[in-house]
Amino acid sequence: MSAHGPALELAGITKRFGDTTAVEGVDLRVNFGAVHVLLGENGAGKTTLLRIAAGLLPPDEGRVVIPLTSSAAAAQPSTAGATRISLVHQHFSAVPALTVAENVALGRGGLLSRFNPGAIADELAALHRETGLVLPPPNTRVADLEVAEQQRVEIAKALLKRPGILMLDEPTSTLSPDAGRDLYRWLGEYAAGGHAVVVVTHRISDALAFGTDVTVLRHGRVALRAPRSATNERELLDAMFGAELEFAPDPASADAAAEGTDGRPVVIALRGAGYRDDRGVEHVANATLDIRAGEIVGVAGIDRSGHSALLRLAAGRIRPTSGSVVRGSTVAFVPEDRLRDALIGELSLEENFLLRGSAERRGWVSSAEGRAKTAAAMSAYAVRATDTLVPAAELSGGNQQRFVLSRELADQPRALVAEHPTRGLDARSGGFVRQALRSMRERGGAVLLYSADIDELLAMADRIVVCHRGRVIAVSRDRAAIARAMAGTA
Amino acid sequence: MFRRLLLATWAAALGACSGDSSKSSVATDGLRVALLTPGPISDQAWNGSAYAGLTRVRDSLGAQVSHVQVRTPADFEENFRQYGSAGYSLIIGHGFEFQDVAARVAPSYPKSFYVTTGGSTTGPNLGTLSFSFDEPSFLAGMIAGAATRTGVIGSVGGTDLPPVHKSFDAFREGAQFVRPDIRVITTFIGNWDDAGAGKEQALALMGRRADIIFQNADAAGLGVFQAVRERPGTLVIGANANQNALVPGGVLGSVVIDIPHAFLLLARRVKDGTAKGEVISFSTTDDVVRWEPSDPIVKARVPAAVLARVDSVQRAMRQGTFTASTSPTVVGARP
Amino acid sequence: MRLLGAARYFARTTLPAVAVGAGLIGILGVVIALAGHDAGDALISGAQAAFGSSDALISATLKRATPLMWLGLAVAVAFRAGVLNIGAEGQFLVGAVCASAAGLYLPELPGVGGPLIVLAAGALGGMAWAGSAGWLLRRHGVNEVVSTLLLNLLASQLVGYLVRGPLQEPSRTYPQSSAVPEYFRVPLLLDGYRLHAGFLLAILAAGIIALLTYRHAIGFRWRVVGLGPLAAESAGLIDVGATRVRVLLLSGAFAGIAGAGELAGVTYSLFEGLSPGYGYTAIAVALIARLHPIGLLASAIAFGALGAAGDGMQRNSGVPADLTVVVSAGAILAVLAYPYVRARWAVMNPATDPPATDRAANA
Repeated sequence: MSAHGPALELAGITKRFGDTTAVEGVDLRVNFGAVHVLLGENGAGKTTLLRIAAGLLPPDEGRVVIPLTSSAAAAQPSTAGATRISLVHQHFSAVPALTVAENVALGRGGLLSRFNPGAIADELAALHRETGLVLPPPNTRVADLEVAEQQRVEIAKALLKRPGILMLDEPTSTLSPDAGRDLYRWLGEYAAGGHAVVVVTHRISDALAFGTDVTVLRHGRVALRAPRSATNERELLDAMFGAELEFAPDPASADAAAEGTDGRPVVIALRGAGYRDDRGVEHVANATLDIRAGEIVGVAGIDRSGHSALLRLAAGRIRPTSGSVVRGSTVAFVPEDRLRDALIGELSLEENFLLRGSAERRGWVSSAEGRAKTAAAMSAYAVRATDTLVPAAELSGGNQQRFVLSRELADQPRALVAEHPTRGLDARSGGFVRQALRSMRERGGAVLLYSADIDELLAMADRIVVCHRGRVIAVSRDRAAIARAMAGTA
Repeated sequence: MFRRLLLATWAAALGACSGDSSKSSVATDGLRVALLTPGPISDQAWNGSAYAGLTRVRDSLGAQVSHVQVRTPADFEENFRQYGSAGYSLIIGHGFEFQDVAARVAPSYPKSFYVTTGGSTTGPNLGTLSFSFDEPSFLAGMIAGAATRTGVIGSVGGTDLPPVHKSFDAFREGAQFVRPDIRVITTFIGNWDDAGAGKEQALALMGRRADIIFQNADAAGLGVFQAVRERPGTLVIGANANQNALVPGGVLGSVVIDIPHAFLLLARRVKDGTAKGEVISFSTTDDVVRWEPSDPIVKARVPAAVLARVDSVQRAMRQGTFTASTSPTVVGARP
Repeated sequence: MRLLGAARYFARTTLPAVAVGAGLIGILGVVIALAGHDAGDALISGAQAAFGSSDALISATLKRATPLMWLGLAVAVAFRAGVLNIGAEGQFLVGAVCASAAGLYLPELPGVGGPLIVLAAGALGGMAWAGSAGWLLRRHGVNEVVSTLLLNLLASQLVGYLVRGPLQEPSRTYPQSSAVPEYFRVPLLLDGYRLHAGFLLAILAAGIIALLTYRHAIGFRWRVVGLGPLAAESAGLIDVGATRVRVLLLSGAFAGIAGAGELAGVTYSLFEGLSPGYGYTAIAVALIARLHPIGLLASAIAFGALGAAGDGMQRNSGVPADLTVVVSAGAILAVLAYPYVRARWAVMNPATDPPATDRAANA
């Protein structure tokens, strides 16, 4: 078993979809015994390249070579060839209602094969001994598993195909930091055992901490190719984004905090506002909060603390069941779940642009006017898409978020409510969104911002309130104070 | 589906309204017969018996036959017209619901003879089949009058449609013909589907000492058979099909309509050029409608003298010399 | 890009219909042959009965397509907005009942079109029937699939009662109503053919609905509410519940007009068996056309032709009715299964379906 021979070579790979070039002239070489990190921002072409490498997608140009040298997989004649590469997708494919063993059996396909839970349990135990992959009991239902456990089931399904090369697409996107570390640690050991591992991610920190080799993709081309030992964070950032980043605390917010915003006009006023849903569950109780022109009010809170309802009350998306909410005009709203609450994936960008304010619209919908407005807003917010007729679902996450912002801010609203608007975005897109919120403040807009990232709140907000069990508590702009209030120990 | 037959029996009474009965000019050579059924011929009932009639016409007269199952009144006209333009000699719409459409279509195809089953509308080349159900009902009444031990008999109908009423009147006439002091109780269930309600009605009649019940209630009438099964000693008389085997030892006989035979007689008339645009009534005379006794029980319960009278009345009916309750005075005399 | 878009649209909408149609004829032939009949002869009889003459085309195929067009519109409008109205069947029947009652009891008004009165009565009836499901949905949160389905059963019982009770013909013999007077009948379009004016009205209505759906703020809200109710509410501030009830009422009106047209344009009298499940066939009509108002006119005609061909095969080739019913049912299943088959095919042949995230952004 050679520990360092080439496992996979891609040469001059180009792939186009219609007018769009996803990857262009990409070379990639993956070695046995290495964790190869494929790094790039959203939409850089990582997933396309991965699918080409895995043989799921034919390239337009270039070739994929899998050298038939001695490798762990080639040693087993029954699996050599067809299943040399296993891909673990970003989204899990396990059936939640079935047990681990049943899901593994499903992965086998084979309409006529009999389901033998005992044999599968044995196989999983053998896999654990062989690779050290810790698996939940085979008779547990997948629905009852932690996310990290579910992912290990996915990996087990891939490993049972006895691949020479294991590929994972954004494997840590849904994992906690600890679980992510554990995963990478295991991947490292697995690779050290003579296998090749390819990981697609947009996290520089992952590449630096766990990669053996790093390839950075930018706009479908290779921007950097280096062993981990020969590169650093600065270099990777530059390769990914081509420019320097800013995620420094905004001096303006510190100034505003020092000055105080009390004298400015109130744009949104919550007066003892409360909200109970149809089932009588109380989400917000007796909230009083002013959001003034030219300030960003930050909201912090753990899951189910009521911040979600608070934001929707302020935005006028739900009516208070007690107290009152006074708003000047329609409030722009950027919800956390873009594809559920802000965009309709099947509809074109033009149509999604028209979605805002569609309740009041009368008469014929002029596509020319809609197109012009959409295009203008998109260029102002650097939304990258072939044209305005592209379905919203086909945009990458960062482009979708910029598009939502461009729409919500297109007619210069006085107030904006934003719910974790940088969630899931790469650093560049996140920076763009933060900049948009700041310029909103600078031209006198009122902004209510929720973020799960305390550092982001500290960097952005003039004032901070914390939601805890439906109560809204004003806190100082101090990390420890915020954390205590979130935990309810203030 | 046998309730449709009730309408067919009733049409005879309405037939007087339609005047035109001129002879049609149907070609006699190369007999071609078409049948439209409103449901699947696999139903072993209304539609199945019609299809059996069609095959009998084919086998007995060497006719070329065609069948179509239509689903909605909207389809009727399309198929009536298609058959007319294809030159079929006899086109049967098996149901009352065909009559309006037949009346609209028939004038356009004078070379075809259109017939509906159980309608009342007629025209120069449009007839409708009707069955005189009252004659065998009269015979059933004679047998029941002689067979009862309590002197009380009953009849149970689905709803109070005129043809049912007429049949029950004849049943009473027949019973009184052999036993003038007999009590005949007539009731109606209110629907044609609820076998449970049919059973309740039958049990109620039995509570009033009725020991023989003439049912004419389609699916609801099956409840009467259940009641008889639970009360040994009581008897039921079936209707439309031969229902004598439904309760072993509990059925006195059935009043039967033989639709295949009716179709054969009709097709013969069309072939001979004797079919007329009128209410074409079939009765005991033609052996299309008949009383079919359950012999062992009848012989055990009815004196030979009465059986002889029944035979002579039946002979008279077949010769057309016995009018029973078809006479207006008897119909008018019903309570 | 526009041209490519048009081609893609064609591939998504028209091709499936053509494929299903062609597949259907193949299946039909095989089934007929398996049942021991001469498949060629039967298919020719069928084709002649559906398209063989102007009479076959107009009096059979198009006449049969007319109620399916209206009902298909009813289903498409509702489904488009995410309202699963399974109740077109019941709304059709109630529309026919109201049309019959209006025709029999309303006086003749000089200067006002009798057919318009009858069709309006049908529309109101269908609307009221659908509206009761809408009320249950809004007020009590009753799923519209359940309520409309149950209202179908109620409607057929209602017809059964009426033709034996209040609306029964005067001799009280037959379970049917009298024919509506000449004044109230929907006129036939061509002398000697059985096609009534409801056919043209259906095309007109489909055109209007197509314009509304794709070009007007009202139709935009229908689509938005159907595709993303949460986004419609949150980003569009649309009252999703109220929009759905309005759409359900419109859907009911179309179904009611279908029933009124069938009564006042074809049968003239109310019968129990007025619909052989048109309301359910219409779901297939609408789905095969991907809910496109113009496309469903074509699929309604295809189903009309299938019905006419089925009768023709029975008449002239002795193919039993059950076989044609089996094939219709197979068609509906094929249409319903198509998206899943297509999705599976796309999974197995990923080259034709590039990953979403990388396509647009790399332009």
